[in-house]
Amino acid sequence: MFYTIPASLAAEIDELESLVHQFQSGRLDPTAFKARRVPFGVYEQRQDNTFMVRVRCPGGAITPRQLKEVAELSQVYGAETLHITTRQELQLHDVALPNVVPILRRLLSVGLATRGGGGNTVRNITAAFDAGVAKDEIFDVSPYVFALTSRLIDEPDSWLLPRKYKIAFANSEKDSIHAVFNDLGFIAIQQKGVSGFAVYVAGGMGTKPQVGHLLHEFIAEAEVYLVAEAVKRVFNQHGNRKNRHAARLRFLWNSLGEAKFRELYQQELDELRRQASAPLTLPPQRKLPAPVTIAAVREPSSDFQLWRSRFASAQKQPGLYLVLVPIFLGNLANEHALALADFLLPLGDDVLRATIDQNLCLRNIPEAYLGNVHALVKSITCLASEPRWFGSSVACTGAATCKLGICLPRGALAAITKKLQAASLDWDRLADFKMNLSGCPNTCGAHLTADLGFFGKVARNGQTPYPAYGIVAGAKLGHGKARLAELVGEVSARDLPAFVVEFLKSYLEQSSRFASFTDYFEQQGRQDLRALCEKHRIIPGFDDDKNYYYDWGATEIFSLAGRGVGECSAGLFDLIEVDLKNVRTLRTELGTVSPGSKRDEILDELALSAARMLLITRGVEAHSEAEVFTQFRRHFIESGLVAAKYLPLVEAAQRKDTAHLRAQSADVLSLAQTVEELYGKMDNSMRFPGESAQPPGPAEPKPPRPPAPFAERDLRGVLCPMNFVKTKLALEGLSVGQRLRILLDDGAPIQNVPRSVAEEGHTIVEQIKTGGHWAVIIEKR
Amino acid sequence: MSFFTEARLERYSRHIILKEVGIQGQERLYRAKILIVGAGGLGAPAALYLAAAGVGTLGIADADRVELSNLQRQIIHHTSDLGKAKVESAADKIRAINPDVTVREHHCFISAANIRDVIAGYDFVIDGTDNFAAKFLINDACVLAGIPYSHGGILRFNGQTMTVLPGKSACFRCVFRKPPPPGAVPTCSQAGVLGAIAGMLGTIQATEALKHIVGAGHVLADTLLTFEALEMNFRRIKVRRDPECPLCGEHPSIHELFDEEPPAACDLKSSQPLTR
Repeated sequence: MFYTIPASLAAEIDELESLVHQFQSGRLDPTAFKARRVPFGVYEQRQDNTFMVRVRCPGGAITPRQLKEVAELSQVYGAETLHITTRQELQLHDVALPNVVPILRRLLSVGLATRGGGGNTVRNITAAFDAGVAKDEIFDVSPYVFALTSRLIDEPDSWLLPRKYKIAFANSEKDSIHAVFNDLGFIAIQQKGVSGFAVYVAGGMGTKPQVGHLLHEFIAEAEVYLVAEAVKRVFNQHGNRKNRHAARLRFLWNSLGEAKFRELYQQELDELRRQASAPLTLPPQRKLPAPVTIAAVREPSSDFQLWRSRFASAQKQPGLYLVLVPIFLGNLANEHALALADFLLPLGDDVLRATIDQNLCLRNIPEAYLGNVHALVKSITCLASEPRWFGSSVACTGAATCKLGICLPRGALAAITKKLQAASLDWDRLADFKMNLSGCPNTCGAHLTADLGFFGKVARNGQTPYPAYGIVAGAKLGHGKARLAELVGEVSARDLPAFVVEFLKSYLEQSSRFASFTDYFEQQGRQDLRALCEKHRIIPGFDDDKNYYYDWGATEIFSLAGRGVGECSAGLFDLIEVDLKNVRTLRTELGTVSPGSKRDEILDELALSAARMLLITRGVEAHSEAEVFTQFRRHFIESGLVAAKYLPLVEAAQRKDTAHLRAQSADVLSLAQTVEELYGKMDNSMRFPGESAQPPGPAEPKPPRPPAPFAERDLRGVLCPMNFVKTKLALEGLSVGQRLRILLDDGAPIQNVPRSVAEEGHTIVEQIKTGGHWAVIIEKR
Repeated sequence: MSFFTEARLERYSRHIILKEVGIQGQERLYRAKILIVGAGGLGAPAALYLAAAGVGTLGIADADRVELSNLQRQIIHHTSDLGKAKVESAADKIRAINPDVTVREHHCFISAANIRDVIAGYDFVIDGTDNFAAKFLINDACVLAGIPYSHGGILRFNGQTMTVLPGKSACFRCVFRKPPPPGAVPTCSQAGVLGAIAGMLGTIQATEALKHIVGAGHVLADTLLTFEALEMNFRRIKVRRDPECPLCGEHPSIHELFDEEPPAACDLKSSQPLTR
């Protein structure tokens, strides 16, 4: 066991059990139930009444005995595979609700907790997978990880934070664990011969990612708890509890400003120092088990040697080895987990870590048993015979299961891997190259921390959308020099595999001239990537090659239907960003291009992108260029959000009057700028300055429209799709311009009905959550 | 709007959700009258889907009784219906599927003498017959009466269909002037037919009827759709109204309905469209 379970957990599980009963008998509202179960690491999957259970494994540590229990539980109650998360946890999937509590109890019996697996809590504390064994580490950070975990999960306020709180420990300045991208990151350093930590705060991925700020150049080892607790208190007292999309610690840092944040933090730290809070009680140094004798498998084959050179490395403890076991997409079959656990049992407790690449790493393996490990690993993963970095790619699930997802990165990764294999180049020379993919601009697939990263986006060929990936590259890790990968261009999903192979081939050819990939990127790679983007920029039309309009692994033509309007606003912002980037690029291009047809095209495109960019905030997805301008006029010019002086320009753009646009190019630019500024002022509820919670009505100069009579339908308790059917029936009875107010349940109804209504061309004027349900106002079109 | 009770909203919800159908389209279906000539391989699936879709009035015209050899493809008839009149067997199934549907049974051979009365009042006709004489007769009658209809034919692994909008698009005679000589084309009973392709074609015909009624998309007007199921090739052949067409051309010679030579064949194969 690596951490101490709070004495209260058993009682809390009992309480959860009674909540489950109340929920099952209909006495507890689903939302209330959700609020209680998520902090327990129990999430509902997309399929109703199916849950996943996330098991806390600080620093990815789990004993073979515990792994065996988890795998057995999964065999009995869960899916065929366990899942390794990017926070080094194990997850059981497909668990039926009645089985959740029995699972929690059995996990408890082997010293595992799920509390804090989700919700606004202290999440699993991560640590370098080679902490304690790496030859080049400053010191072993694991005892701090385990002790801090035990301490924080025993404090009631760790479960009621404004948002999640993620902490990580790096064992050297390399920061392989990405401590700087956590809410709180500790990096082991030595100062004047004394061991301690550099501390970063307010880093993070997700929306608006940022590198953490250096909070302490150096703190003594003994102060780890004080720092974590002081930051937690600042967060707890000042964090934003209203808007979960702007609640993470980095938003607090940004809204308070650095000086104020430091001041509040210092007050808490001083207070804790004054109280002389007990330092962490570090667990005793782990002793290696007495030498065991299992029959060593000797494997002199070249196959074994190649594998060993790729995956096994000597630890600082002589004679012992660290062995990476790549697990494709982090999905570990139960029987493979059991085989692994059985093999590891005689070798002691401290023999296994999960990594943030969603792989496993065995440790403390005597050299004589590497042959045994090889035999076992070959049966577990096909990635064992590939270069090591193939197995280190992270790809989030994307649009396959995530509502924010735009592309299918796992399909893309499979296609890339196939292409890499077919290219038969010496990919091992890329050593620890890191390539990650996310299905949307959010960074669940960690693309911004990779050497080469991709994020799903929508691109358009004319008005036809197709799946594409934004390309980022050149992320740097490490104390004092971390930076996120920078955007270099985009490529269609279809061309992505070819793009990757062409790029890496070209890098391999030049790599001897550069010290590292980051050096190459800075001196040459950026240009190479841009040139490749240019090469792949034009894609065939739909009629010439439909493949470009299908995503990897998709059976249907790529479309925006089902995304955007009606979805969580985070996904919406991403769609806006697509046009925003376009607008910015075009504005820059316009400044450099000389008069001619190319310039005219840019002007056309700029007017179109500017007009389209914010339509989605009004629930409008235009299907033709003409409609973009019509809707823009209605929602932005007629409403007064954009000055009426742009009307002639918009009309000219609509009738494709290039001569007019050419003559008024300054106006095109200032229209684009106006739209950008408007977006900058938009709040998280997609309202613009001056707009109240009330529907965006026409601005002052227009005569006030007589208040349209509302029809009302209470569709609470009506399931999908009958709620939509009844909405259509009610709309049928109205004339154009009249409004209908409907009440909808939270969850699927509010996610689907307004979107579907908007797709039929009606306007969603407003949707407001009141109590546990939603009131939506629709204007018939 | 009283038609839409809770139960009907739910029964037709997957239609109503469709933007192209919606409340109005579903109401149109309820008011629609569709005639299916021939409760056989094509008529059976068409009738089942149109009934389920909530078409308010379905006419079934057929003179035959259910035979054992029908059951391989005429899925509206069950083994227990052997010997029963096909119109009666089909009407039972339609009512069982959807009590909203009023079924009109026309238990007769259609001929030049009676077809005018049979098709009168219908909004759309589905040709599910198995011989050229009937196909030409239905074409002539529908074009003269101005009723849109769907032509369909199957043989072996092949099928073809087109939709005729009288006065607007090519009619069957514009494309195939007259029946092939007797014996030139084998009948289904001689040549065989894969049962499932009856389903493929009959459901295309039902889809055409539904689209026409609700006014969604484009029907196969001026378009002959053919398929060959062994390789699963589908082809769309563009056809045009023929100014020389004896029925709907500029100087028509057919003014009265008549029966072509007695039932000859089952259509298709060597009867390629006239190429012009």
